[in-house]
Amino acid sequence: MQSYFEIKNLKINYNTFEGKKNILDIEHLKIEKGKTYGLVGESGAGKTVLALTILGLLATPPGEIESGQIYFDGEELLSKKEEEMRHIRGKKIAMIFQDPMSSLNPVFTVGYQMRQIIMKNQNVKEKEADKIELKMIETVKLPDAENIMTKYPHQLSGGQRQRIIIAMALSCGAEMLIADEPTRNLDVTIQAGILKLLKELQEKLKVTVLFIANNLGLVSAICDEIGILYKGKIIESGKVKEILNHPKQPYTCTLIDAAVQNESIQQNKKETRGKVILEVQDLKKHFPVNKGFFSKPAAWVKAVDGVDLKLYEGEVLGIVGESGCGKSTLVSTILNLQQPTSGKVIFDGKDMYALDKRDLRRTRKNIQIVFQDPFWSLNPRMLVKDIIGEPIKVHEKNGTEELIERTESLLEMVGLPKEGVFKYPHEFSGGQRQRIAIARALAVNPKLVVLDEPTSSIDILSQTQILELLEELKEKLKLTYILISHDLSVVNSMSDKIAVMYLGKVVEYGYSKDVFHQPRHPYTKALFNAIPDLHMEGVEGLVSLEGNVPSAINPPSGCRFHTRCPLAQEICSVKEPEMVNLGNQHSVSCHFSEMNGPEAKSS
Amino acid sequence: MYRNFLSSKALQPRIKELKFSFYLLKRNQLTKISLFIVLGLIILAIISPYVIPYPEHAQMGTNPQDKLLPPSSQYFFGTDELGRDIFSRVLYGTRISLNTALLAVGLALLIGIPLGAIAGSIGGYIDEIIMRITDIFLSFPPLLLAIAISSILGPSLQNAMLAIAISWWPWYTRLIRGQAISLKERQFVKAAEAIGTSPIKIIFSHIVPNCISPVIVQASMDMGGVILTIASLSFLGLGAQPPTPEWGLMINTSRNYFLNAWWYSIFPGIAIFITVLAFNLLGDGLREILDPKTRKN
Repeated sequence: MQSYFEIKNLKINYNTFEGKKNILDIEHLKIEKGKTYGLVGESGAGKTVLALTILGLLATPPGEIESGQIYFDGEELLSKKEEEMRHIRGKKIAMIFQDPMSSLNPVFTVGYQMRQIIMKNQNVKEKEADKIELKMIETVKLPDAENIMTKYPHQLSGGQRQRIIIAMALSCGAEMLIADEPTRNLDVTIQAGILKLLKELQEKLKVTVLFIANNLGLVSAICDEIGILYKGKIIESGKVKEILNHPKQPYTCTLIDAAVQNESIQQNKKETRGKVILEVQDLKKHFPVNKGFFSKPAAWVKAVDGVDLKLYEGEVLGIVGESGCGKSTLVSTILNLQQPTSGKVIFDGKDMYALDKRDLRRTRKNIQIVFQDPFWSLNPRMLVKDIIGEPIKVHEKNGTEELIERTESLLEMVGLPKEGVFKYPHEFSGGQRQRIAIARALAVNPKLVVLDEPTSSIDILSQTQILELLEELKEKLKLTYILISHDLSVVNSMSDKIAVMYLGKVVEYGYSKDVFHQPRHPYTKALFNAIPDLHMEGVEGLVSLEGNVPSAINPPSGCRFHTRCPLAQEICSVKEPEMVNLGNQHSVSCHFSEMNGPEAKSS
Repeated sequence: MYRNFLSSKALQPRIKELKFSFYLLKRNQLTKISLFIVLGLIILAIISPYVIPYPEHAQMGTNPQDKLLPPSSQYFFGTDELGRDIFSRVLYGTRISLNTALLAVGLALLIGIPLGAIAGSIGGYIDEIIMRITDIFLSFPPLLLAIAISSILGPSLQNAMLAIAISWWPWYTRLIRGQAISLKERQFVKAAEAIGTSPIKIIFSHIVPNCISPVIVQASMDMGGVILTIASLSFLGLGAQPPTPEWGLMINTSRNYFLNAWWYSIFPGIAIFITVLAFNLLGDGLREILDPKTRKN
């Protein structure tokens, strides 16, 4: 008896510069109708290649299908002609890509695009198609469907776009969805919403889903069965619970460990008081929005709008918030990579904005930054020795003599073999490249290191290792960190203090154990409960925030969060809440901070 | 220090890169052929004075008793009105055309790249000033501008070269500026800034090396255009002067004998045609190697 979807002995090779490489070798994979199968693997494991092969979209050459069969609903897909595949692709099997922008045409409204698809696939007139379309948009839970239909893709947020893609897939009557890391580029609160939606649709419409992810937590929340893909082979597969509780392969164990470790809380943070190393006073950064060429700015984007922070030596300050909340602008303004609108930053007793150019460059030696994306933060034309050696060359005139030796020892310090100094960055994996970026930041012994989402674009296994490395280096070199992330669990595992940002303002601030155990602001709570963990069965426990982060040009009146807040009442839209000190340096800006205080987190 | 720099370790990754480029090059037949032609032309340009049958005919020497003979085993491409061997002159012309074109493009790059990189990465008033100047240059057709400049400077091959460089640099400035603007927002540039690297160093060690590939492609395609422009200027009497065996100049003189000596204009024409085509194809191939977006798997 054949399953609804089945892959047998699939072997795919790639012809590359270094010769033929086997990148996918799947003996057997099957999905029953109406089930969700989760495929987990690191980047480079062959996940996307598999998805493309199923749809017949694999580029050949360089790809080459050596052998194998893919059965879908009783039909063999690999032997089909391109023309026949066109009827299956989209109509029966639809794909949701990582980046929703790549599957929407930017010059048409989403309504038009959906209508075209519906008219073609269901043979209906325009008016009827419109009706179906409205229903579909409502099915994927987008409010104000009629308005959304008139929007162009760029006017929608990432989460909305992903929902539109899902609606499009369903409107063709797709029976199977292939979701290739559909939430990778989304914020955690939005991600939770998409996961919930997928689960619900799958139950309601009996859609079969192949869910591809690099994170075990995500998959375990919504899948019935999972398979672990490692170097092109499925090394383990079965029911979610079985695999989580009784993993057989060592690789699976490390994956599970990595996911658990991220959740664990380090409570033994000491409350030390060194000297104040960085003080931010009422910092504001507004960007002008120009209408005409010569006219005055029409409006201001208030990216950072009055932030106060104090950082003591040896501390780790975590800054969390969704994308667009002004985290990155805050840091680059603190570093004086851009001029502030108003406010002061005092680093090590010096006013950062009062320094002249030469002094500023000298001060930069003491503040270093590690950027989010290691694929863009290293100059691709430079050898590793020149990348790590750059700050040494800039700041130490006589440091060039033993440059190679020093870069070698820096590489070893971050856990890479010293032979790496004569390689280009593209020869390293994401995690390794991030290590190189860390080595560069530490090359001239800085006092403060800013980590701008250091783990968000690398694999989960490397994430844990990078966090461990950072922790170790901090102790060894007596560093102070500012850690930025949209992922509360990453911040929590490392930082002493947490500042939660929303739309350019800090809404909650305090020692991490206070913020973590007794979050007082509804936004903090939502952020925290949006992350699926391994022991979660189903997606009911996930909290997703409806709506988008409002525009920073015209922030909502009163409390900025009231448009999305589950507790919002009249007063919220009128009066802006003050920062209330709850004791032990824990402060929060919410009208109901007293009310929703003592109750602990609910996961 | 220097020993370290020259040690095989530091060179290895670069050799690997080169091998990869070669691998890509080999996959495209047309590029391969054009590369062979261009290499052949370069070799020819270097050795032509020593291999041509009548070296003196490429210089001042004349041979009036053999004037306007059709192609034969003695004179492969026939002879011109002064009895000079056209085969020798066409081959020698490679040297002149390639030499002049290379210098002209090189000079244009030398002006264009720094200006474009500075305009793009610094922005503001400096950008405005540099770009408005390039706009002025770009508002004339390059050939017309080159004609105007070389007629001011006086007709000679050096002046034609100078004129071409002056009318060509704004194109590179534009190209580089566009690249630099997008590059300066990249994280590795921000990282260099955060390290404290000086702005000039950022421009020349981070921005320029990363936006050079489209310029190389453009330059190799321009080689064809520049060779054509030199020939045009010489044809109009503004470039090389007799008795220089320059292709454009030869075609110009041949006009008078066009009806009864077809070989006189045809062979220099073919030489121009092959050279320009080869450089254009090579540029296309280089684009494929240097710009992964246009790569056909």
